[in-house]
Amino acid sequence: MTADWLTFQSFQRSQEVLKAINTLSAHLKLTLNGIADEELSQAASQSVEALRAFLNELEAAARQADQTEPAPMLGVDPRLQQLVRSYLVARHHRRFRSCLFTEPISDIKALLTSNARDDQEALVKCLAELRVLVEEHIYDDVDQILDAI
Amino acid sequence: MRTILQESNLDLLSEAERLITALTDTLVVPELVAYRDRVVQACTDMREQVHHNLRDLELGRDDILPEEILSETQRLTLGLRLYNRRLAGPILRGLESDRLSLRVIGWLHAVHKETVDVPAAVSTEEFSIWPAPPHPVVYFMPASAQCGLLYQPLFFHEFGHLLYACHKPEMDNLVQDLQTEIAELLEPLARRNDIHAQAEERQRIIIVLTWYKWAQELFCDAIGLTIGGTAFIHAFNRYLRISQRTEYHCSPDELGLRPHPVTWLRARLLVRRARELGCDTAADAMERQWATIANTLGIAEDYYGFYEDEFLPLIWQTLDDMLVEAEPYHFTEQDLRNEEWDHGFTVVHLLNQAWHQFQTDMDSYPEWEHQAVFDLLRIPLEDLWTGDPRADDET
Repeated sequence: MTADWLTFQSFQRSQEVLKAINTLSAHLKLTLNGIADEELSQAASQSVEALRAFLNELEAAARQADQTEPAPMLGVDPRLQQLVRSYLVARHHRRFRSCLFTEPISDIKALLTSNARDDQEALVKCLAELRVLVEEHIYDDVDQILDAI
Repeated sequence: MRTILQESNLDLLSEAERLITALTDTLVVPELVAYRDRVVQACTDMREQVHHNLRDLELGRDDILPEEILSETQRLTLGLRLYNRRLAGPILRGLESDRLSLRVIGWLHAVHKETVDVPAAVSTEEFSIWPAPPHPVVYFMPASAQCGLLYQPLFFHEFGHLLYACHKPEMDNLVQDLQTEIAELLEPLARRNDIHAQAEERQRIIIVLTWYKWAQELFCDAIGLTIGGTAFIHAFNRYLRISQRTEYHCSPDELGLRPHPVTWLRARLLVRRARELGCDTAADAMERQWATIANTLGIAEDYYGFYEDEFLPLIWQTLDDMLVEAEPYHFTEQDLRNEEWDHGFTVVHLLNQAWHQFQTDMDSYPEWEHQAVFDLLRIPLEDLWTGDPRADDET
């Protein structure tokens, strides 16, 4: 009875988050460039919900871990813990510059449904950096599930 | 970059089409049709995404969306690779011998409202599961075990992982409470500030974090027992009692890395719950056998602080709460009754009957099992999977 279930769940979660990031980011960029795409616009609404749920999870786990005195993340699966740790390291080391890594996560959630141009531009930057974080994370799962070539 | 992306997406398109054709051309057993349909749907969705990428490239949108199209191409490459290399296999191998396990799993999914629409397949490896609903689920089982009835109850443990995934937020909250309470129990009465104290603190954190996975594994054992009754105890006991020394004892360093608690501890908790559920005879036998083997190995029970008796009331309450949340099928008195099986009864009854036959007369068991499996496979699927829990909800 192996523990592959955690890796498989983590892989699928990352795939869904990446799909949501790419869909919403594409929608916002086209909108900012004055290009309408009805199909993409509808898919973007679902992506907002998926990302809000993911950011809620990230925020709750990060709150536990990012205390003055470092605390273990309880009730959080080990793969999500690793993603949260990567996020916190990136925050503290200023590896990324978007407001996802400089402001509270609650601020980013507010951007998800904003129609203001400045907010949409800021959100595109956040999504680009979140994509990097998730893409780096998923490759650990890929190694285990698909045996890297 | 545009050329690279176009080529890669055309490759993906071709790969997706070939895979869909292979899947739809394969003649599958009736028990696998729902799984095959779900896998084909997922591949068709991915093919559609590839078309989107190609359309964006034709429209020259890669000037605006270079990162998005590249990332989507990479994501679809991985997604298709997962289906190609892992999820399509159970369909393409088309083994008639999978039908027995598929029927056991199909019944299991059908009698739980969360899983009634989650299709499943079987593959060959050590017992495990890939549970990420609503994605199709794959159960793994060693090849020889798939051919008989005796170890099918171990799927009930794996099914526990799927139930956990279906109730993940609530389950994680319960596990979080357990981890918090264990952390409080481990807290020293007085804190020093030296290198030893820091090492002890690190060890306490490892123990507390380890309980995330351990709690889920113990929950899955409780699910297995609640569904399968004595058949699960016999299967667990027979499969795990003799495998290796580490089932009885691990060093502190190994314990922190283990996804499961030491199996002897799992057996102890299983025995306790089995007695609660009235399976005393099987529980007593299992307890004696594990003690005998441990004694022969010269092993004394020690979990190096990862488990203490004072944890037990907390663990027990958590497992009880998790069972209330998951609402698994609970074996009935009829399931455990030693009567000839007919299809009006449940799969759980068949598996308990199998263990009774095996333990009563091992010589004639193969013939009995052959006939029982033959009879099971003759039952029309709609008669076997009559326990749609949504029908109960409506009434």
